[in-house]
Amino acid sequence: MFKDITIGQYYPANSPIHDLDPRTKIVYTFVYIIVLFFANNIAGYAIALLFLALLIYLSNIPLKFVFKSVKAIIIIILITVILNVFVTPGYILFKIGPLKVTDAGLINAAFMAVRLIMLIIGTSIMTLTTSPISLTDGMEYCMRRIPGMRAYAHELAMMMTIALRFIPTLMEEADKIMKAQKARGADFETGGIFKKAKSVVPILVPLFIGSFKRADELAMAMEARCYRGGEGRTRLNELTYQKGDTVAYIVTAVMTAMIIASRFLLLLNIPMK
Amino acid sequence: MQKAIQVKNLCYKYQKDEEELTAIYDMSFDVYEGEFLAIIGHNGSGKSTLAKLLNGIIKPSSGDVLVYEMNTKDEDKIWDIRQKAGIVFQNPDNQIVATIVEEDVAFGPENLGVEQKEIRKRVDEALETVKMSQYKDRKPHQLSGGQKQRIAIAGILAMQPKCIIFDEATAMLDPSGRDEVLSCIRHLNKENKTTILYITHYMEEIVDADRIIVLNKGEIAMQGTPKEIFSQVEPLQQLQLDVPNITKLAYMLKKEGINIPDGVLTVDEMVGCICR
Amino acid sequence: MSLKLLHVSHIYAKDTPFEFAALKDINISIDKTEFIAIIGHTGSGKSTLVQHMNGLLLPTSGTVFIDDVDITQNKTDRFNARRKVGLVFQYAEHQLFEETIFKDIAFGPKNLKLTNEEIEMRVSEAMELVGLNYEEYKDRSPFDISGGQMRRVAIAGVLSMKPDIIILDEPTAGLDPLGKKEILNSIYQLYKTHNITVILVSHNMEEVAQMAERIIVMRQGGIIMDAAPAKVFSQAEKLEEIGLRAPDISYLMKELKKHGLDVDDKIFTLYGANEELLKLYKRGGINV
Repeated sequence: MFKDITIGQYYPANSPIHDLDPRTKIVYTFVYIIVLFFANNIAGYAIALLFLALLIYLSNIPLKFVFKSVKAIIIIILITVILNVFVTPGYILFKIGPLKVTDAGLINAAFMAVRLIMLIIGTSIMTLTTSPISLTDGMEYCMRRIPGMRAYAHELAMMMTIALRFIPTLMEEADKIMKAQKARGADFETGGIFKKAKSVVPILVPLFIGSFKRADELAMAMEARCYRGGEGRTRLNELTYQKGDTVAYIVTAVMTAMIIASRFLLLLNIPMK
Repeated sequence: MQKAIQVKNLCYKYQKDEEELTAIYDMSFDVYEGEFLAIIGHNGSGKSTLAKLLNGIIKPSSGDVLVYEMNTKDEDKIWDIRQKAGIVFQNPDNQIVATIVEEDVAFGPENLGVEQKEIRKRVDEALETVKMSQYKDRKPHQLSGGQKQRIAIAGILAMQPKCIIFDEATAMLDPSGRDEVLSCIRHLNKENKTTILYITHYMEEIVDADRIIVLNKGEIAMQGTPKEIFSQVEPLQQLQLDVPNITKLAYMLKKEGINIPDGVLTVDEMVGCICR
Repeated sequence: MSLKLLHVSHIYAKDTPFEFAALKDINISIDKTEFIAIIGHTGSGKSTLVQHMNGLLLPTSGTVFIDDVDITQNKTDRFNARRKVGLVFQYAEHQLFEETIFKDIAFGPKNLKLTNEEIEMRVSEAMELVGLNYEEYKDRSPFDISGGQMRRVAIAGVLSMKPDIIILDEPTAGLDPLGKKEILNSIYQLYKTHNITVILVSHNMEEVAQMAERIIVMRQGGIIMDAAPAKVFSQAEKLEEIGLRAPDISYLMKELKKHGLDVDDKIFTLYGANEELLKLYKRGGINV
């Protein structure tokens, strides 16, 4: 039964973050990623972390789900940390064989790790609180604002929508075909990689053929319902900003200002590092 | 009576493996406004090709199709034609575009550039007509086949067509799904006065149509009222069509000399004939 | 050959909010060559049930015996079960994948690791069984033939495993009357001349009434009737309660009897009714 699987990592819940307009969340995430790279001292990171904590708290998402995304990139974080520890020049603390560990290396590595973790958590809050459907909508609206992207905004969004629409259908179909081949004595479980790879052919071929047929019929049905691209199209549900979105934009601006300001704390010779 | 669709000397040829094949051969008929016209034929009789020709998805090789006086060959009119004569296809899964029921119903009017408020009104009305209002926030894959087909019908209704073509719209449904869809179609025909062109290969679905056209090899083999058509049991069987068992029984008894009128369609009629 | 389901229950997504009991305490025993129809609404559990009969699904509780072997215990037994109990899915043509009809039908026998000569023999036999000429069709692409023929290729793909029982899930769905008739005829021939137990899953009473010797009626994951057709149709009200119908002919005979005609109201086939009414006519029981 694949009928009720959730696509992506959307976590349905009631929260002020869930209620935000998808555009707001996309813009916030985008800004957040950029300003994270402005942060270059503890103050900057502390501010970014504070906002992130607030976001997680407001989103009503169990921490377990929030940290799941970090698990997926743990290897990348480790590599970054190791590289930073060993290649950054500075005061040598100790040596492991030919490798030198410096104070600057340790600090750099810690910052990099924290930055990566915050980056991942920040973006996954967006995907956790926004359904794929409204994410698609939000992306379409945002893309329309970008010069040169306008022409593709609708097409891309339509492709996303159709993909989302057909994922459950195709999964059900794949399940059925797999069972049908099993009923004919196919074995998908035993054997080496080569044998296993070969054994998916009887599933993939019918699935592809079926998908092409579906695509063909869907295209015909869309044409019959007067579909002719994004030009002149209206929408049943236009995205509209609510009060919460205004608040969110102000918060974004404040966060940006604070983090950028934190860079200059050093210049003012206030010892922060 | 006003004509909704006129088919004039329609021919359709296509290429397959460098061979030229004819799917529709010099066909002419009219669909009158407000009627329930059934078109029946076995697979390969040309009925699905005909459906696509009527709505301008494919163009005639020769001859004309006029939908409310508009020729399907006229590219400028094609969107008007498709708005006036909507089409519901066979596979319920392959005609639902959006991920939410109400957004799918809105797809047609959105394409026509209808104003937002008006779309809302049309979507709500269409869902009400097919009795699917309480499912408006559902995802399509959570619905049964019959429900999906009713959503497809609502999607057409929201374009406010005058005529709807059903291309084997019940072929993939179970009996209850088929009943749901059929009663919905009858309601549209009776209450909303929508012209219905119903293409099928199930004889038992069209016993209460106003008129039946039987296709064979791209030509019209018979046409008339259900009574007239159903009384011709043997010719129908030769055309690979299957009459309901009751009709068959009446025919068999009549051949043995029992005086039963032609074209008996239902159990009640049959009882009435025998117990006079 | 015997197939037994004992207290079989199946719960989907157990211990989640989506938990759903698809089968509830099913008991079925098949121990001779029979033509069985399983009838029920979409969602009554028919498809889930038949997938237990060859171990594609395992019961949440209960056991399945094929030739007295409990197939719920290990994989090898299930693998053997799939040879003995063939299952043809709904819209079976969607599973075709090979370049030629021969290769596609040979997929099953190949999985059984048979010799090439044996495979060839089985493919040609299976094709003849479903009414496809071996020489004419074996090298053609299975995607280049009509829908009805594609479905017959898919059925041949299961027959080539030489099962003792063949289960067909809605084998006529979506076909036109001729396609239906051809498939049903092949299935009936299979049963009559090859001694194979046929289990036909359907929601079309008219279709199964003419052929089945035993009808199993399902509702909400349980079996509510398991009897000979005449007995099942005599309880038309019970069928209607769950949204099914007896065949039209059965209703006609009952109506006629109610109107005082001296007819057997247990008749439900076209030919039976024809004979009965002619007899009555000749006796002067019908004055028209």
